[in-house]
Amino acid sequence: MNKTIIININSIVFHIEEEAYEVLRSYMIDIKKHFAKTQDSEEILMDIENRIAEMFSEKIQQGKKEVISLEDVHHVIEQMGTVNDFDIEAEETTSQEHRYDSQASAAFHKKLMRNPDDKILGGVCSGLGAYFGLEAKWVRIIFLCFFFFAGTGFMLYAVLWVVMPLAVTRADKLAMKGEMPNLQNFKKSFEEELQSLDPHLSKAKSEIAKGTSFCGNFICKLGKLFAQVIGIAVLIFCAMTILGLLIGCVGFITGVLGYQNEMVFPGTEALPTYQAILALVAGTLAIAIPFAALLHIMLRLLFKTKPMNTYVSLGLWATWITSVIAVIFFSLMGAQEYKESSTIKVEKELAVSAALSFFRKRC
Amino acid sequence: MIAENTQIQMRKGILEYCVLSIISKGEIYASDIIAELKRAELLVVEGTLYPLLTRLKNNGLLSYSWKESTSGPPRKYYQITEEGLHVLHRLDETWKELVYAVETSVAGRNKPNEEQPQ
Repeated sequence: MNKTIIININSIVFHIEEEAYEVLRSYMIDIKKHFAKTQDSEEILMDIENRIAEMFSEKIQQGKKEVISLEDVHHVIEQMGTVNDFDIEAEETTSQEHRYDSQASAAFHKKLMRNPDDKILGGVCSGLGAYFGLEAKWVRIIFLCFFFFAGTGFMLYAVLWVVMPLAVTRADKLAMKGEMPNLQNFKKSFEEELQSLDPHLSKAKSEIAKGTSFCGNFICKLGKLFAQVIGIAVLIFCAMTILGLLIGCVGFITGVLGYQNEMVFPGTEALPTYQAILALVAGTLAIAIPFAALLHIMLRLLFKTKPMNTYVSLGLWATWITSVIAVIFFSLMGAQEYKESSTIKVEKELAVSAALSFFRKRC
Repeated sequence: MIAENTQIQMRKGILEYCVLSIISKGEIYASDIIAELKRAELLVVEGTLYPLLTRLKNNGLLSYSWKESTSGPPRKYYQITEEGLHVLHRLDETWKELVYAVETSVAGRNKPNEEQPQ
Protein backbone atom coordinates (compact mmCIF):
# COMPACT_ATOMS: atom_id res chain seq x y z
CA MET A 1 0.00 0.00 0.00
CA ASN A 2 1.46 3.36 -0.99
CA LYS A 3 0.47 6.90 -0.37
CA THR A 4 -0.18 8.94 -3.51
CA ILE A 5 -0.03 12.62 -4.14
CA ILE A 6 -2.10 14.52 -6.66
CA ILE A 7 -0.12 16.87 -8.84
CA ASN A 8 -1.01 18.97 -11.81
CA ILE A 9 1.36 19.57 -14.69
CA ASN A 10 0.10 22.24 -17.05
CA SER A 11 -3.45 21.67 -15.86
CA ILE A 12 -3.44 17.90 -16.29
CA VAL A 13 -3.96 15.98 -13.09
CA PHE A 14 -1.81 12.99 -12.16
CA HIS A 15 -1.74 10.71 -9.19
CA ILE A 16 1.84 10.04 -8.26
CA GLU A 17 3.44 7.90 -5.57
CA GLU A 18 5.00 9.87 -2.76
CA GLU A 19 8.50 8.55 -3.42
CA ALA A 20 8.21 9.25 -7.14
CA TYR A 21 6.95 12.73 -6.37
CA GLU A 22 10.05 13.53 -4.30
CA VAL A 23 12.31 12.43 -7.16
CA LEU A 24 10.34 14.38 -9.75
CA ARG A 25 10.29 17.46 -7.57
CA SER A 26 14.04 17.53 -7.04
CA TYR A 27 14.54 16.89 -10.76
CA MET A 28 12.34 19.84 -11.70
CA ILE A 29 14.14 22.06 -9.19
CA ASP A 30 17.48 21.09 -10.75
CA ILE A 31 16.18 21.93 -14.18
CA LYS A 32 14.75 25.23 -13.05
CA LYS A 33 18.08 26.15 -11.50
CA HIS A 34 19.90 25.11 -14.66
CA PHE A 35 17.82 27.25 -16.98
CA ALA A 36 17.37 30.12 -14.54
CA LYS A 37 20.17 32.11 -16.12
CA THR A 38 19.15 31.56 -19.73
CA GLN A 39 16.71 33.66 -21.65
CA ASP A 40 13.24 32.25 -22.29
CA SER A 41 13.64 29.91 -19.34
CA GLU A 42 9.87 29.98 -18.85
CA GLU A 43 9.16 28.73 -22.31
CA ILE A 44 11.79 26.00 -22.11
CA LEU A 45 10.47 24.85 -18.74
CA MET A 46 6.94 24.87 -20.10
CA ASP A 47 8.02 22.70 -23.05
CA ILE A 48 9.75 20.28 -20.72
CA GLU A 49 6.79 20.13 -18.35
CA ASN A 50 4.42 19.58 -21.24
CA ARG A 51 6.53 16.73 -22.51
CA ILE A 52 6.73 15.16 -19.07
CA ALA A 53 2.95 15.41 -18.78
CA GLU A 54 2.63 13.74 -22.15
CA MET A 55 4.99 10.93 -21.23
CA PHE A 56 3.05 10.36 -18.01
CA SER A 57 -0.21 10.20 -19.94
CA GLU A 58 1.33 7.64 -22.26
CA LYS A 59 2.51 5.57 -19.30
CA ILE A 60 -0.96 5.62 -17.80
CA GLN A 61 -2.63 4.63 -21.04
CA GLN A 62 -0.12 1.92 -21.89
CA GLY A 63 0.05 0.45 -18.41
CA LYS A 64 -3.70 0.69 -17.88
CA LYS A 65 -3.03 2.05 -14.42
CA GLU A 66 -3.88 5.17 -12.50
CA VAL A 67 -0.78 6.05 -10.58
CA ILE A 68 2.67 7.20 -11.71
CA SER A 69 5.32 5.05 -10.04
CA LEU A 70 8.95 5.73 -9.23
CA GLU A 71 9.97 3.58 -12.17
CA ASP A 72 7.97 5.78 -14.53
CA VAL A 73 9.62 8.90 -13.19
CA HIS A 74 13.08 7.37 -13.59
CA HIS A 75 12.22 6.40 -17.12
CA VAL A 76 11.04 9.90 -17.96
CA ILE A 77 14.14 11.45 -16.43
CA GLU A 78 16.34 9.08 -18.41
CA GLN A 79 14.63 10.09 -21.62
CA MET A 80 14.64 13.78 -20.82
CA GLY A 81 18.20 13.70 -19.51
CA THR A 82 19.50 15.22 -16.31
CA VAL A 83 21.11 18.60 -15.93
CA ASN A 84 24.51 16.95 -16.23
CA ASP A 85 23.55 15.56 -19.62
CA PHE A 86 22.62 19.04 -20.76
CA ASP A 87 26.05 20.24 -19.76
CA ILE A 88 27.82 17.51 -21.62
CA GLU A 89 25.94 17.63 -24.89
CA ALA A 90 25.06 21.11 -26.02
CA GLU A 91 24.11 23.63 -23.47
CA GLU A 92 22.60 27.02 -23.69
CA THR A 93 24.94 29.39 -22.02
CA THR A 94 25.04 33.10 -22.12
CA SER A 95 28.80 33.27 -21.87
CA GLN A 96 31.92 31.19 -21.87
CA GLU A 97 32.59 31.97 -18.24
CA HIS A 98 29.27 30.56 -17.21
CA ARG A 99 30.16 27.26 -18.76
CA TYR A 100 33.40 27.11 -16.86
CA ASP A 101 31.44 27.86 -13.72
CA SER A 102 28.90 25.16 -14.22
CA GLN A 103 31.54 22.61 -15.12
CA ALA A 104 33.54 23.45 -12.05
CA SER A 105 30.50 23.18 -9.83
CA ALA A 106 29.44 19.95 -11.52
CA ALA A 107 32.82 18.51 -10.64
CA PHE A 108 32.60 19.82 -7.13
CA HIS A 109 29.27 18.11 -6.59
CA LYS A 110 30.68 14.66 -6.90
CA LYS A 111 27.91 12.44 -5.70
CA LEU A 112 28.17 9.49 -3.41
CA MET A 113 26.19 6.71 -4.99
CA ARG A 114 26.13 2.96 -4.98
CA ASN A 115 27.84 1.52 -8.00
CA PRO A 116 25.74 -1.19 -9.64
CA ASP A 117 28.52 -2.15 -12.05
CA ASP A 118 31.00 -3.26 -9.42
CA LYS A 119 29.34 -4.71 -6.41
CA ILE A 120 29.53 -7.57 -3.95
CA LEU A 121 26.63 -6.68 -1.68
CA GLY A 122 25.11 -3.32 -2.43
CA GLY A 123 27.89 -1.55 -4.31
CA VAL A 124 28.53 0.64 -1.27
CA CYS A 125 32.28 0.06 -1.18
CA SER A 126 32.91 0.70 -4.86
CA GLY A 127 30.73 3.80 -4.62
CA LEU A 128 32.79 5.02 -1.67
CA GLY A 129 35.94 4.18 -3.59
CA ALA A 130 34.82 6.24 -6.55
CA TYR A 131 33.95 9.09 -4.23
CA PHE A 132 37.29 9.18 -2.44
CA GLY A 133 39.36 8.15 -5.43
CA LEU A 134 40.38 4.82 -3.93
CA GLU A 135 40.19 1.39 -5.45
CA ALA A 136 37.12 -0.51 -4.31
CA LYS A 137 39.21 -3.35 -2.88
CA TRP A 138 40.91 -1.06 -0.33
CA VAL A 139 37.57 0.26 0.87
CA ARG A 140 36.37 -3.32 1.19
CA ILE A 141 39.42 -4.24 3.25
CA ILE A 142 38.85 -1.23 5.53
CA PHE A 143 35.24 -2.27 6.01
CA LEU A 144 36.26 -5.84 6.74
CA CYS A 145 38.66 -4.57 9.41
CA PHE A 146 35.87 -2.53 10.98
CA PHE A 147 33.65 -5.61 11.10
CA PHE A 148 35.87 -6.93 13.86
CA PHE A 149 35.42 -3.81 15.98
CA ALA A 150 32.17 -4.86 17.60
CA GLY A 151 30.44 -4.90 14.23
CA THR A 152 30.91 -1.17 13.61
CA GLY A 153 31.58 -1.90 9.96
CA PHE A 154 28.35 -3.77 9.67
CA MET A 155 26.35 -0.91 11.17
CA LEU A 156 28.06 1.68 9.01
CA TYR A 157 27.56 -0.46 5.92
CA ALA A 158 23.87 -0.90 6.63
CA VAL A 159 23.41 2.83 7.18
CA LEU A 160 25.30 3.71 4.01
CA TRP A 161 23.36 1.15 2.00
CA VAL A 162 20.14 2.84 3.03
CA VAL A 163 21.41 6.36 2.60
CA MET A 164 23.35 6.10 -0.67
CA PRO A 165 21.20 6.15 -3.79
CA LEU A 166 21.91 3.69 -6.60
CA ALA A 167 23.56 5.18 -9.68
CA VAL A 168 21.06 4.34 -12.39
CA THR A 169 21.51 6.66 -15.33
CA ARG A 170 24.59 7.52 -17.31
CA ALA A 171 24.69 10.95 -15.70
CA ASP A 172 24.44 9.39 -12.25
CA LYS A 173 27.46 7.27 -12.96
CA LEU A 174 29.38 10.27 -14.27
CA ALA A 175 28.41 12.22 -11.16
CA MET A 176 29.53 9.30 -9.05
CA LYS A 177 32.97 9.23 -10.63
CA GLY A 178 33.03 13.01 -10.89
CA GLU A 179 35.13 14.64 -13.55
CA MET A 180 37.77 16.85 -12.09
CA PRO A 181 38.00 19.93 -14.30
CA ASN A 182 37.83 22.24 -11.31
CA LEU A 183 40.21 25.18 -11.12
CA GLN A 184 39.30 25.83 -14.74
CA ASN A 185 38.66 29.44 -13.91
CA PHE A 186 41.88 29.72 -12.06
CA LYS A 187 43.89 28.16 -14.86
CA LYS A 188 42.12 30.21 -17.49
CA SER A 189 42.77 33.55 -15.84
CA PHE A 190 46.34 32.50 -15.19
CA GLU A 191 46.88 31.70 -18.85
CA GLU A 192 45.31 34.96 -19.96
CA GLU A 193 47.63 36.82 -17.67
CA LEU A 194 50.63 35.07 -19.11
CA GLN A 195 49.54 35.72 -22.66
CA SER A 196 49.96 39.43 -22.08
CA LEU A 197 53.57 38.75 -21.09
CA ASP A 198 56.56 37.97 -23.28
CA PRO A 199 55.86 35.32 -25.93
CA HIS A 200 59.22 33.76 -25.07
CA LEU A 201 57.64 32.66 -21.89
CA SER A 202 55.26 30.39 -23.73
CA LYS A 203 57.18 27.27 -22.91
CA ALA A 204 57.64 28.22 -19.32
CA LYS A 205 53.98 29.16 -19.30
CA SER A 206 52.79 25.70 -20.10
CA GLU A 207 55.14 24.21 -17.52
CA ILE A 208 54.03 26.67 -14.86
CA ALA A 209 50.40 26.22 -15.75
CA LYS A 210 50.83 22.50 -15.39
CA GLY A 211 52.58 22.98 -12.07
CA THR A 212 50.01 25.40 -10.68
CA SER A 213 47.07 23.34 -11.72
CA PHE A 214 48.72 20.34 -10.13
CA CYS A 215 49.47 22.24 -6.91
CA GLY A 216 46.04 23.80 -6.87
CA ASN A 217 44.45 20.44 -7.40
CA PHE A 218 46.60 18.95 -4.71
CA ILE A 219 45.81 21.64 -2.13
CA CYS A 220 42.16 21.55 -3.01
CA LYS A 221 42.07 17.78 -2.70
CA LEU A 222 44.02 17.86 0.54
CA GLY A 223 41.65 20.42 2.05
CA LYS A 224 38.66 18.42 0.98
CA LEU A 225 40.18 15.22 2.30
CA PHE A 226 40.91 16.90 5.63
CA ALA A 227 37.35 18.19 5.92
CA GLN A 228 36.04 14.78 5.00
CA VAL A 229 38.22 13.03 7.56
CA ILE A 230 36.95 15.36 10.28
CA GLY A 231 33.42 14.87 9.06
CA ILE A 232 33.77 11.11 9.15
CA ALA A 233 35.30 11.31 12.63
CA VAL A 234 32.28 13.30 13.83
CA LEU A 235 30.03 10.81 12.08
CA ILE A 236 31.62 7.84 13.81
CA PHE A 237 31.65 9.72 17.12
CA CYS A 238 27.91 10.41 16.83
CA ALA A 239 27.15 6.83 15.87
CA MET A 240 29.19 5.49 18.78
CA THR A 241 27.57 7.93 21.21
CA ILE A 242 24.11 6.85 20.15
CA LEU A 243 25.12 3.21 20.41
CA GLY A 244 26.60 3.85 23.87
CA LEU A 245 23.48 5.64 25.01
CA LEU A 246 21.32 2.74 23.85
CA ILE A 247 23.49 0.19 25.62
CA GLY A 248 23.52 2.36 28.75
CA CYS A 249 19.76 2.75 28.63
CA VAL A 250 19.21 -1.00 28.36
CA GLY A 251 21.70 -1.58 31.18
CA PHE A 252 20.04 0.90 33.52
CA ILE A 253 16.60 -0.44 32.74
CA THR A 254 17.64 -3.98 33.61
CA GLY A 255 19.15 -2.51 36.78
CA VAL A 256 15.85 -0.87 37.65
CA LEU A 257 13.98 -4.09 36.94
CA GLY A 258 16.08 -5.70 39.60
CA TYR A 259 18.37 -7.90 37.56
CA GLN A 260 21.74 -8.50 39.05
CA ASN A 261 24.01 -5.83 37.69
CA GLU A 262 26.08 -2.98 38.89
CA MET A 263 24.40 -0.36 36.74
CA VAL A 264 22.07 1.78 38.77
CA PHE A 265 21.40 5.28 37.62
CA PRO A 266 21.58 7.57 40.66
CA GLY A 267 18.16 8.74 41.70
CA THR A 268 16.12 6.15 39.87
CA GLU A 269 15.70 4.07 42.99
CA ALA A 270 13.64 6.89 44.39
CA LEU A 271 11.00 6.44 41.66
CA PRO A 272 8.54 3.60 41.11
CA THR A 273 9.73 1.07 38.52
CA TYR A 274 7.63 2.15 35.56
CA GLN A 275 8.47 5.82 36.14
CA ALA A 276 12.15 4.99 36.40
CA ILE A 277 12.02 3.20 33.05
CA LEU A 278 10.16 6.09 31.46
CA ALA A 279 12.69 8.53 32.90
CA LEU A 280 15.61 6.51 31.54
CA VAL A 281 14.09 6.20 28.07
CA ALA A 282 13.26 9.91 28.01
CA GLY A 283 16.77 10.78 29.13
CA THR A 284 18.31 8.60 26.45
CA LEU A 285 16.12 10.14 23.78
CA ALA A 286 16.81 13.67 24.98
CA ILE A 287 20.53 13.11 24.50
CA ALA A 288 20.44 10.78 21.51
CA ILE A 289 18.18 12.84 19.25
CA PRO A 290 20.53 15.85 19.00
CA PHE A 291 23.36 13.42 18.21
CA ALA A 292 21.19 11.75 15.60
CA ALA A 293 20.48 15.18 14.11
CA LEU A 294 24.20 15.92 14.00
CA LEU A 295 24.78 12.54 12.39
CA HIS A 296 22.14 13.31 9.78
CA ILE A 297 23.62 16.74 9.05
CA MET A 298 27.10 15.26 8.65
CA LEU A 299 25.75 12.60 6.32
CA ARG A 300 24.04 15.27 4.27
CA LEU A 301 27.14 17.45 4.12
CA LEU A 302 29.49 14.62 3.31
CA PHE A 303 27.44 12.57 0.93
CA LYS A 304 24.83 15.02 -0.33
CA THR A 305 22.04 12.74 0.68
CA LYS A 306 18.39 13.62 0.50
CA PRO A 307 16.91 15.89 3.17
CA MET A 308 14.84 14.22 5.85
CA ASN A 309 11.14 13.75 5.34
CA THR A 310 9.25 16.64 6.95
CA TYR A 311 7.03 14.33 8.99
CA VAL A 312 9.99 12.41 10.34
CA SER A 313 11.85 15.57 11.35
CA LEU A 314 8.75 17.08 12.98
CA GLY A 315 8.16 13.79 14.78
CA LEU A 316 11.73 13.81 16.05
CA TRP A 317 11.35 17.40 17.28
CA ALA A 318 8.17 16.51 19.13
CA THR A 319 9.78 13.41 20.65
CA TRP A 320 12.78 15.39 21.76
CA ILE A 321 10.76 18.14 23.40
CA THR A 322 8.52 15.57 25.10
CA SER A 323 11.50 13.68 26.44
CA VAL A 324 13.20 16.82 27.71
CA ILE A 325 10.00 17.75 29.54
CA ALA A 326 9.73 14.19 30.88
CA VAL A 327 13.31 14.30 32.14
CA ILE A 328 12.67 17.57 33.96
CA PHE A 329 9.44 16.17 35.41
CA PHE A 330 11.03 12.96 36.65
CA SER A 331 14.03 14.83 38.04
CA LEU A 332 11.69 16.96 40.10
CA MET A 333 9.78 13.85 41.18
CA GLY A 334 13.02 12.21 42.24
CA ALA A 335 14.19 15.32 44.02
CA GLN A 336 10.91 15.42 45.97
CA GLU A 337 11.79 12.07 47.52
CA TYR A 338 14.93 13.53 49.00
CA LYS A 339 13.24 16.56 50.39
CA GLU A 340 13.20 15.91 54.14
CA SER A 341 13.63 18.63 56.62
CA SER A 342 15.76 17.92 59.66
CA THR A 343 17.45 20.06 62.20
CA ILE A 344 20.34 19.21 64.39
CA LYS A 345 20.58 20.98 67.65
CA VAL A 346 23.80 20.79 69.53
CA GLU A 347 24.34 22.47 72.83
CA LYS A 348 27.80 22.77 74.17
CA GLU A 349 28.95 24.11 77.48
CA LEU A 350 31.78 26.56 76.85
CA ALA A 351 34.39 27.41 79.44
CA VAL A 352 33.40 31.06 79.39
CA SER A 353 34.10 32.09 82.97
CA ALA A 354 37.91 31.86 82.65
CA ALA A 355 37.96 33.97 79.51
CA LEU A 356 35.70 36.59 81.01
CA SER A 357 37.80 36.96 84.11
CA PHE A 358 40.83 37.40 81.84
CA PHE A 359 39.20 40.31 79.98
CA ARG A 360 38.06 41.95 83.16
CA LYS A 361 41.56 41.99 84.46
CA ARG A 362 42.84 43.72 81.31
CA CYS A 363 40.12 46.36 81.47
CA MET B 1 39.68 18.62 -21.29
CA ILE B 2 40.66 20.46 -24.48
CA ALA B 3 39.55 17.48 -26.54
CA GLU B 4 36.21 17.46 -24.75
CA ASN B 5 35.68 21.17 -25.31
CA THR B 6 36.38 20.80 -29.00
CA GLN B 7 34.03 17.85 -29.21
CA ILE B 8 31.28 19.84 -27.51
CA GLN B 9 31.78 22.75 -29.89
CA MET B 10 31.74 20.46 -32.93
CA ARG B 11 28.58 18.65 -31.82
CA LYS B 12 26.86 21.88 -30.89
CA GLY B 13 27.13 23.32 -34.39
CA ILE B 14 26.24 20.07 -36.07
CA LEU B 15 23.24 19.51 -33.81
CA GLU B 16 21.72 22.81 -34.92
CA TYR B 17 22.33 22.00 -38.55
CA CYS B 18 20.80 18.54 -38.19
CA VAL B 19 17.76 19.81 -36.28
CA LEU B 20 17.11 22.51 -38.88
CA SER B 21 17.46 19.94 -41.67
CA ILE B 22 15.06 17.54 -39.98
CA ILE B 23 12.46 20.25 -39.44
CA SER B 24 12.82 21.47 -43.03
CA LYS B 25 11.35 18.15 -44.19
CA GLY B 26 7.97 19.13 -42.77
CA GLU B 27 6.02 19.80 -39.60
CA ILE B 28 7.40 17.73 -36.77
CA TYR B 29 7.00 17.18 -33.06
CA ALA B 30 9.93 17.50 -30.64
CA SER B 31 10.05 13.85 -29.61
CA ASP B 32 9.97 12.83 -33.29
CA ILE B 33 12.98 15.06 -33.84
CA ILE B 34 14.71 13.10 -31.07
CA ALA B 35 13.75 9.86 -32.76
CA GLU B 36 15.24 11.11 -36.04
CA LEU B 37 18.42 12.19 -34.27
CA LYS B 38 18.65 8.77 -32.60
CA ARG B 39 18.29 7.15 -35.98
CA ALA B 40 21.15 9.35 -37.17
CA GLU B 41 23.12 8.19 -34.12
CA LEU B 42 23.52 11.71 -32.84
CA LEU B 43 22.91 11.04 -29.18
CA VAL B 44 21.00 13.71 -27.33
CA VAL B 45 18.48 13.72 -24.54
CA GLU B 46 15.21 15.58 -24.97
CA GLY B 47 16.19 18.17 -22.41
CA THR B 48 18.91 19.51 -24.70
CA LEU B 49 16.54 19.96 -27.58
CA TYR B 50 14.01 22.34 -26.02
CA PRO B 51 16.43 25.21 -25.36
CA LEU B 52 17.78 24.82 -28.89
CA LEU B 53 14.30 24.88 -30.45
CA THR B 54 13.31 27.90 -28.39
CA ARG B 55 16.42 29.76 -29.47
CA LEU B 56 15.91 28.92 -33.14
CA LYS B 57 12.27 29.96 -32.86
CA ASN B 58 13.14 33.27 -31.20
CA ASN B 59 15.62 33.99 -33.98
CA GLY B 60 12.80 33.56 -36.46
CA LEU B 61 14.12 30.37 -38.05
CA LEU B 62 11.25 28.24 -36.79
CA SER B 63 7.60 28.68 -36.06
CA TYR B 64 5.24 26.36 -34.29
CA SER B 65 1.57 25.58 -34.05
CA TRP B 66 -0.39 23.84 -31.33
CA LYS B 67 -2.11 20.61 -32.23
CA GLU B 68 -4.45 18.46 -30.20
CA SER B 69 -3.06 15.16 -29.10
CA THR B 70 -4.81 11.92 -28.24
CA SER B 71 -2.50 11.40 -25.30
CA GLY B 72 -1.93 14.26 -22.95
CA PRO B 73 -1.67 17.99 -23.54
CA PRO B 74 -1.66 19.68 -26.97
CA ARG B 75 1.65 19.39 -28.79
CA LYS B 76 3.89 22.02 -30.33
CA TYR B 77 4.61 21.16 -33.93
CA TYR B 78 7.62 22.95 -35.36
CA GLN B 79 7.90 24.24 -38.87
CA ILE B 80 10.72 25.96 -40.69
CA THR B 81 10.24 29.58 -41.80
CA GLU B 82 11.43 31.35 -44.95
CA GLU B 83 14.29 32.81 -42.99
CA GLY B 84 15.07 29.37 -41.59
CA LEU B 85 15.27 27.93 -45.09
CA HIS B 86 17.57 30.75 -46.10
CA VAL B 87 19.84 30.05 -43.13
CA LEU B 88 19.71 26.33 -43.88
CA HIS B 89 20.92 26.91 -47.44
CA ARG B 90 23.80 28.94 -46.15
CA LEU B 91 24.60 26.21 -43.65
CA ASP B 92 24.50 23.66 -46.49
CA GLU B 93 27.18 25.63 -48.30
CA THR B 94 29.25 26.04 -45.17
CA TRP B 95 28.93 22.32 -44.51
CA LYS B 96 30.18 21.49 -47.99
CA GLU B 97 33.13 23.79 -47.46
CA LEU B 98 33.81 22.18 -44.12
CA VAL B 99 33.59 18.66 -45.50
CA TYR B 100 36.02 19.62 -48.25
CA ALA B 101 38.34 21.31 -45.73
CA VAL B 102 38.31 18.34 -43.40
CA GLU B 103 38.70 15.77 -46.16
CA THR B 104 41.61 17.65 -47.65
CA SER B 105 43.29 18.10 -44.32
CA VAL B 106 42.71 14.56 -43.17
CA ALA B 107 43.63 12.95 -46.52
CA GLY B 108 46.96 11.15 -46.37
CA ARG B 109 47.30 11.78 -42.69
CA ASN B 110 47.63 8.12 -41.83
CA LYS B 111 50.29 7.37 -44.43
CA PRO B 112 53.32 9.11 -42.93
CA ASN B 113 52.33 7.80 -39.52
CA GLU B 114 52.37 4.25 -40.78
CA GLU B 115 55.76 4.73 -42.34
CA GLN B 116 57.27 6.39 -39.32
CA PRO B 117 55.47 5.17 -36.27
CA GLN B 118 56.38 7.14 -33.19
